[in-house]
Amino acid sequence: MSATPKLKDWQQRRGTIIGITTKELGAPRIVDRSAFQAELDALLVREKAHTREGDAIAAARGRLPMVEIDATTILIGPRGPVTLLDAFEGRRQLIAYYFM
Amino acid sequence: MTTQTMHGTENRAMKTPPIVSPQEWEAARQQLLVKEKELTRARDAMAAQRRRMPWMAIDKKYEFDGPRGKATLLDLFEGRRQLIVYRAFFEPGVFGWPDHACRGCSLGADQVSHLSHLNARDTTLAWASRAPQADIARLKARMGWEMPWYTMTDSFDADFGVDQWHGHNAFIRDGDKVFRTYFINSRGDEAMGTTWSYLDMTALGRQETGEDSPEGYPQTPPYKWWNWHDNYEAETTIHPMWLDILTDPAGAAIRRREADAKACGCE
Repeated sequence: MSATPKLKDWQQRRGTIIGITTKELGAPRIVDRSAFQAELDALLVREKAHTREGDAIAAARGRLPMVEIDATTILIGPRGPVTLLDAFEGRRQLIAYYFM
Repeated sequence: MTTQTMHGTENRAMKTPPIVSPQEWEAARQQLLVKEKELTRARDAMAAQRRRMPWMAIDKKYEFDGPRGKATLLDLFEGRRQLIVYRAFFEPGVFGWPDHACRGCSLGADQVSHLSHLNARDTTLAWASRAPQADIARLKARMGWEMPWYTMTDSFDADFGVDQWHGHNAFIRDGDKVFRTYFINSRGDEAMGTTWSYLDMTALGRQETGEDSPEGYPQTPPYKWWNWHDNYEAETTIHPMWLDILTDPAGAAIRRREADAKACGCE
């Protein structure tokens, strides 16, 4: 199995990223499995700290105060006008994204 | 309010945070935003460090079954420069078999974003399992999943740390030579699925200017390469209006309004 010709044509048209050799990338170090694993393990310490920091921030979000807003605010939905409360669809929480 | 939730807890039992004025709420949010921004920057810095990982040489010839027959690891790239392979558990012995894949992996499959954007950064995402292709095809149709999904036939899973547990391996190729560049598993997999999470685990990153990458790495301005997922192939050079918006957002908005006013005759 190989790439379809259509895809290759498209990539050639898009240009820029294709055809850069390892040399052009400043020759990254090529290592064996054990050396790679050692580097991976070292970086994993940072990865895990980052995950935990994300958890801590999420926990702090959960402790933010709340501000009451007008639940009767009208939005237009596929079946006509609804309130912001309706947008919860009976669930406990609502996330609203403003899409431009 | 004593709303019954799915888990049967009642609002009253919860010690909820205080209700405050909009000003107080905004102040508290701004305070937390500092931490949020720190975390975002820490993630960028971590991705920059990933891009400085050495590359692991791969000499073994791996063979997969794909929808169109046998495929090598190189074939999985589909001609692109980079490849991310996610090992999903779908095989006899996994809960749900043969109707379903592992629940965690299935949740992950549901959050795979539209792959056109990743592909536009010369990167392919592929999934790999032990299940035969016929079962994979049936599962994809049933669940509405569209990513390329291969059957592992050899020691690929054991060699890349995904024989016992799911995980994402990132690869890059230089011509026909393939290198392993990064590996994310465990809770790291939770965050995968967005275009940015995929790019951030690759050797080349987002390939955007301003990104802390080693010298000579391909970069183009942020936003400029973004397109609608149904328009990448049609629009090979940047649309002049999109370029206008990027280079002079305020001016472009005025020009757009003027053009609209002219079009509707309501000047």
